[in-house]
Amino acid sequence: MSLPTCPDPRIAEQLLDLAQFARRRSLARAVQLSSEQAWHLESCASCRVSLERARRLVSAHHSVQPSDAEVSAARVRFAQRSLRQGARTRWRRLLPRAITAGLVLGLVAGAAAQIAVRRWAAPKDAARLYTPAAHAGGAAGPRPAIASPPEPAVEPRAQDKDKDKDEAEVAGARGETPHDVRIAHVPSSRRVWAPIRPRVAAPAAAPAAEGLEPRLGVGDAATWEPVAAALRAGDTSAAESALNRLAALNDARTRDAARLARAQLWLSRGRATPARDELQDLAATGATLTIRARARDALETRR
Amino acid sequence: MPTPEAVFGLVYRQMRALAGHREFDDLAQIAAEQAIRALPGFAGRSKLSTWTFRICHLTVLKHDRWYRRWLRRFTLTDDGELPDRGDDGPSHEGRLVDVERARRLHTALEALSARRRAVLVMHDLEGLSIDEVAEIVGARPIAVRSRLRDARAALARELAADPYFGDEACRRKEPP
Repeated sequence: MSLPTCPDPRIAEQLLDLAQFARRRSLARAVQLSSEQAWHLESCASCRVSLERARRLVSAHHSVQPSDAEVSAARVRFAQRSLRQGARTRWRRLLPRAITAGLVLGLVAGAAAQIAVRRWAAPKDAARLYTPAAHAGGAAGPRPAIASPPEPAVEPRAQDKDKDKDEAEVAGARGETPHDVRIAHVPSSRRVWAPIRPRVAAPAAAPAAEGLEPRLGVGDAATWEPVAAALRAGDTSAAESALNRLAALNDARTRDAARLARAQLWLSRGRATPARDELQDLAATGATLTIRARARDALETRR
Repeated sequence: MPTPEAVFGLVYRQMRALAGHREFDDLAQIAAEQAIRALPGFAGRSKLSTWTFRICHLTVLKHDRWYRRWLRRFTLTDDGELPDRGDDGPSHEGRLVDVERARRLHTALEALSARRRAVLVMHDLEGLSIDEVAEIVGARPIAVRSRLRDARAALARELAADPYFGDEACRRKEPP
């Protein structure tokens, strides 16, 4: 049997609000109904059912309210859970920080290791550049009496090897490392390769420190030291004599590097004809790519 | 200044009314921790019960939002376990009847939306005034009254066939 709906929902709502069973638990207690509301309640079965339901709902709701003992037990239980969760939360908070710190430390350690490896490898590379065994290769010239330094794990390309060797030759002529080679002006306005203050000590001392014989080779600073000293002193005659001695060596690279330097010296002193012949010969038959290229550059500049 | 024990008891009872059986333990713990943590900031501008009711209400709303998002990804295949009710043991028959009626009431309440359920519980079951409910839920009184009207109608529909709260049962007035 379905319940008829209330013809005046406004009064039905007023009755429910007035009842406030949650406060009074009984409609009869201290509730003053107007005559209209009282008449409506008498005649409307729907409102009577609604009020009775509201009373039962409140009654059922409050019948199972937690007791003080239950609340105390819950408080203890929650405190224990909070302790366990707190430990987990602390761990969860620390975990990302630990991961971040680990990553940062790893990056720093990696960068430091890379820097250390570079610094450690740099003198070895320099020594390799100045070692006759590393530069002469299969070219003419006596094999050195010392053991060759260990070769790098990866063989460099042939072109790069030539470039390194050429830089070593030119730098060796100035008594410095290849990175210190600069172009400087001379009074004759001709450009010649002149040394700038060496940044790294000549690695020729390394074999001596190991008790080995001094090496003479393309990149050896001692080989080119007389030329460099004469140029520093401005004594071009002495420099030319030293270059003549080097140009007579069997080592093709040292010989051609000395011939190139001698031709540039001749150009700076106005002796164009022998310089042009020498440069043309070097441009065609120079021992390395760099020597040939620089000879061609000198010819072009001359023209 | 109210003690943390008093705040905890208040929150626990209010959350029982608002949340019913559904994840009551977790919600009560979260709300109680928030209330006790925020207790030094309680300025007394409103009643303590209003203040704690607001914390409970916001906690339930937040949980409902999370639960809706969770349901979009997962499907429940079990009703889950009810929390341990401590002293709800079968002490006598009347107590069992009360517990069963309360369970049906809270089941019907859970069918309502969180906002309607909060308004109906606070006003009709807990006895708060419309203005107090409006302050707690952060709405205007007229909106609260509208929600209350809808909630009453929806609850009546939910309980229409109930053997204790249903229309037929409520025709026979029970002795108070």
